[in-house]
Amino acid sequence: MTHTGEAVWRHRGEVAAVDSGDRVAVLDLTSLAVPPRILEGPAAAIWRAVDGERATPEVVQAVAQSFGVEAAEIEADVLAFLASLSSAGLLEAS
Amino acid sequence: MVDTALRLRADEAVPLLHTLVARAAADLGLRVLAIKGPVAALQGLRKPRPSADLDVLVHPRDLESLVAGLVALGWRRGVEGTYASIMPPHSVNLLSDLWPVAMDVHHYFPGFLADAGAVFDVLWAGHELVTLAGVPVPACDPVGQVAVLALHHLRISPDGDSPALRELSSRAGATLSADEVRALVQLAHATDATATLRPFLLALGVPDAEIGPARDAIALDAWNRRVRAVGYEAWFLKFARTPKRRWPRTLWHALVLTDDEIHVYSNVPPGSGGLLRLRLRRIGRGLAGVPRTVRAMARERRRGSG
Repeated sequence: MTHTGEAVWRHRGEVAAVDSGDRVAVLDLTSLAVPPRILEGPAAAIWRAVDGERATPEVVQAVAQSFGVEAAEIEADVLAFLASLSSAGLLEAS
Repeated sequence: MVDTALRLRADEAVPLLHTLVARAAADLGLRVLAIKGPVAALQGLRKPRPSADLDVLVHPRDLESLVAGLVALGWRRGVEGTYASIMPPHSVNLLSDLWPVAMDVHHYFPGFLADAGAVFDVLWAGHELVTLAGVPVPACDPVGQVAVLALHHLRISPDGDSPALRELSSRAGATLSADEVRALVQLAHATDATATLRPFLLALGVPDAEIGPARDAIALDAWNRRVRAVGYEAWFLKFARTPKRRWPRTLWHALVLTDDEIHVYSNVPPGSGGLLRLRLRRIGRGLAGVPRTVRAMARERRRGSG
């Protein structure tokens, strides 16, 4: 799995999500016994920044813009979170 | 940033749970239809508002397979059979400690007088996919949904004079095309729901001659008796069937219910501090309703023996 460079991130097809504005609740439809995960704050912003078209640097940039910070300040955290969602089966990169 | 300790809210849980049930059913090779709740709101048949639970309809022969599949995912049977009800059991209630809403898996819907399996097949034949939480979920189409919602309201107000039924009538009148109203009448005939839906169909402007009588007169009589049962009659009937030595226990249960039952009726999670307050309120309402119920039951008995 590529987490940097030109990898384009998308939500996995077998994921249901409810975005309430203040947060996002996400259910993995391949693991129905696992309760939904709640994403708030930066986590929700990263989830929303993943739109199936943005590569890793654009995702970082979109999140940085939404919080009014420099991309370099948050890059490591965003990359780590993308990797974490990928490991959880909620995102995929190609 | 990801917090699994955060409580899922009902407005998030209901659409997600519909996708869960649809997926679980598909994995088992079963058909399941989303009814009422957010689907009806998406179809313009009710105001968007948070639901305290979710309802799905399954073919009666598939009920136990679906329930077993959901139990294997951590759900447990809820209040079934522990409280008094004037309606025969028509759904299995499921609860989970990980979800804030209950799930009602219906194996038939009261008011459709035809065979429950045949009714499901008719509703399934007209089903559509609605998008909930970004996922397509099989649901009753607006015609089937209107029939289900109308029967739900008519169960509570059989003469069709409730605000909820008037609102549905107005929304259905604005939403359904003339062809869809004709399809609704056909559906009512196919499911033997013409007589039970009559007040609603008349309100929609369907001529009386097109509605027709029920094919199953015995089932219609049972429906009429049940929907006209008064207040706490179900509990009185339960007492009548219970040996006197067990009356104190039954009375206690009638007044306080179990934690799960209170959860289903109020959406207050089991074990939370609000249960005592809800129980006290229920005891107050129960005692206040006893004289009215006794009078109404005496009237019914006189009418029955007259």
